[in-house]
Amino acid sequence: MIRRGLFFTGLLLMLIGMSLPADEPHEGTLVLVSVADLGDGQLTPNQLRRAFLGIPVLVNGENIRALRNTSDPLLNEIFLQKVVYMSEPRYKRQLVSRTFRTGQMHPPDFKVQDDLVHALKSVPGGVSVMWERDANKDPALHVIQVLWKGRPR
Amino acid sequence: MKKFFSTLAGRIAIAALFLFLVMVPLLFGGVLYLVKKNYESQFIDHVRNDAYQLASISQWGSGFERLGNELEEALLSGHIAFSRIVDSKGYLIIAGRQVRQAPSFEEDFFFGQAEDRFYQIAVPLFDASSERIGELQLGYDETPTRMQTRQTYRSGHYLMLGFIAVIFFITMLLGRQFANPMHQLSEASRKIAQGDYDARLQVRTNISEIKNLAKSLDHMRNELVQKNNEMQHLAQHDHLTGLPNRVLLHKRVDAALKGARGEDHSMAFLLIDLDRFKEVNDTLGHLTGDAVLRLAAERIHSCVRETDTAARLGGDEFALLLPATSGGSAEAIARLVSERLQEDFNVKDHQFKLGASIGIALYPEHGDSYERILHCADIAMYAAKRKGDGAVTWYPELETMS
Repeated sequence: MIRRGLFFTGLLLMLIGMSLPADEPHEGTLVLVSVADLGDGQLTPNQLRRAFLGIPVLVNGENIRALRNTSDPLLNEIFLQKVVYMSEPRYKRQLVSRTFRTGQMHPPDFKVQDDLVHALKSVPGGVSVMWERDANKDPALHVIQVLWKGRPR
Repeated sequence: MKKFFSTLAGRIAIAALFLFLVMVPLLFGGVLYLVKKNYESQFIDHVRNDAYQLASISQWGSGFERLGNELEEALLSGHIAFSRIVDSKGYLIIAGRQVRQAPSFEEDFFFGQAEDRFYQIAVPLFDASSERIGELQLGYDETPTRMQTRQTYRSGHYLMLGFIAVIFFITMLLGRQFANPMHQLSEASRKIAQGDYDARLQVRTNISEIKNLAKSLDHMRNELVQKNNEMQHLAQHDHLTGLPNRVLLHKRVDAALKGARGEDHSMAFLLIDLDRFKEVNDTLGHLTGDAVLRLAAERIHSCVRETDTAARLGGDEFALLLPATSGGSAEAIARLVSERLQEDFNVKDHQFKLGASIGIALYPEHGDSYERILHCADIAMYAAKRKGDGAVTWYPELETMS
C-alpha cells in the first residue's frame, strides 16, 4: 500500500516536473578560435566564408585552415547562417563540388569538441567556431573574433 | 462479412491490409518528412544567400542609399516581408514592410522556430574598407513554404490511401484466385465422401500447387471408383463360379417383377439342384467338387439369354431368372439345362454323370414377390427331386391345374 502510494506520488511529481516550462536558454557568444597567433587582424566576412568553403586564405602570413565544429546543432546552424550563409545541404554540396573540381580536401568535420580542440592544436593555422564559454576552458585557444552574440530562441 | 473474413481470400486481404497499414504510412511518412525537410532547407538557403547578397551592396561604397533602393525593390517583389537597417550604434535608419505589422526583431536559425510565420535574419553591414557600419535585419515570410509542405502532405495522404485501396483490391482478387479453386476442391471432396464418384474433378486454375492437388484428388477418386466396383462385384457375385449370388438375384428378381408388372409380362423362376453332387464331393474331394460346380455353372449359363440371370444360391443350388418368359419357354429352357447337366462331367481324369432337379415358378401365377416365387420354386424343385432323374417340375398347383 505504502509502495503504491510512493509510486503514484513519484509519478505525479514527475508529471508536474514535465509540465513546468523549460529553463530559458542562456545567452551565448559564438567565437572564432585558433591556437595560432594571428595578431590583431580579424577576418572579414568574405575571408571567413572562403576559409570555411575550403578556399585558401592568408592572414598575417598565416595560411588559414578551417575546421568544422558540428558538436552542437544550434552552434552549427548559427555558424551556417553567420559564416557561410547557406543551408546545411547546400554547404555540403559546395564542399563536395569543390573537392571534385580542385582535388583539395574540404574542411574536416568534428562531431566531438575534444577532438576538435586536439585538431586545432595539431593543425598549423587551424581555426574553428566555438561557444566562448568552451573556448575559455582551454588557455591554448585564442579568441580571434566574436561571430554572434545573443540569446537563442 | 464475418464469413468473408474467415475465408482464405479474406485472411489474405486482412494480412495485406494490416501489413500495408503499417508499412505504407512509414514509407510515405518518411518520404514526406524528407520532402518537408528539403523544402525548408531550400527556403533557408534562399534566405541566407539573399540576405548575404543584399548586405554586400553596402560594400560598394554608396552608403545605405543603394541598399535602401534594393530593399524597396525586394519588398515590392514580395519575397521579403519586412526590412530594417540599423547603424553600428543600433539606431534605425531605414525600415520597410509588406505586412501590417512587423514583429520585434529576434533572429531565427531554424525554420518555424517561433510561431510568428517569419524567418528573421540579421546580416552585418560593412563599408568598402570592411569597417562595420551597421546591421541589416530582414524578415522572410515562411507561409508559402508551409503551404507547399501542407499541399505535399495532402497529396501524399491521398496517394497513400489510393495505394492502400489498390493493394487491397489486388490482394482480394489474388485471394479469390486462390480461394475459388480451393472451394471447388472442397466441394469435389465432399461429393466423393458422399459416394458420388462419377463426376470428374475439374479445377480451373493456373496455380501449379492447386493443379497438383486436384490431380491427386482425381487419382484418389479413380482408385475409389475401381475399389468400389470390385467390392460391389465381390458382394454380389459368387466367388467360386462368378455367377450372381443370392443378394444380386434378389435385386434382379425385384427389378424383373417391377418390369413385368408395368408391362404386363409373365416371368419365370427356376431353381436347380444338382443330383449326386454330394457323392462326388465326398468321394473325390472338395477341389473336384468346386471344379464340378464351375463346370455346371458354365453349362447353365450357356443355356440362357443375355437378359436372363443365372445365379448360385449356395452349395449345389442354382437359380435362373427368366424375365418376359412364358411357362412354355421356361419349361423348354429347363429341359435344355437338364440335358446339359446330364452330359458327362470330365474333371481331373474323372468322368461321371450328374443330373439336376429343376423346379419352376411363374409370375404372376405363383406369386408376386421374390420370397413367394422362391418358395414356390423351392417346393417345385423338391417335388422334382422326389421324382428323380433330371425331372423338371412346375409348382404343384399349376401342375395340378395342367
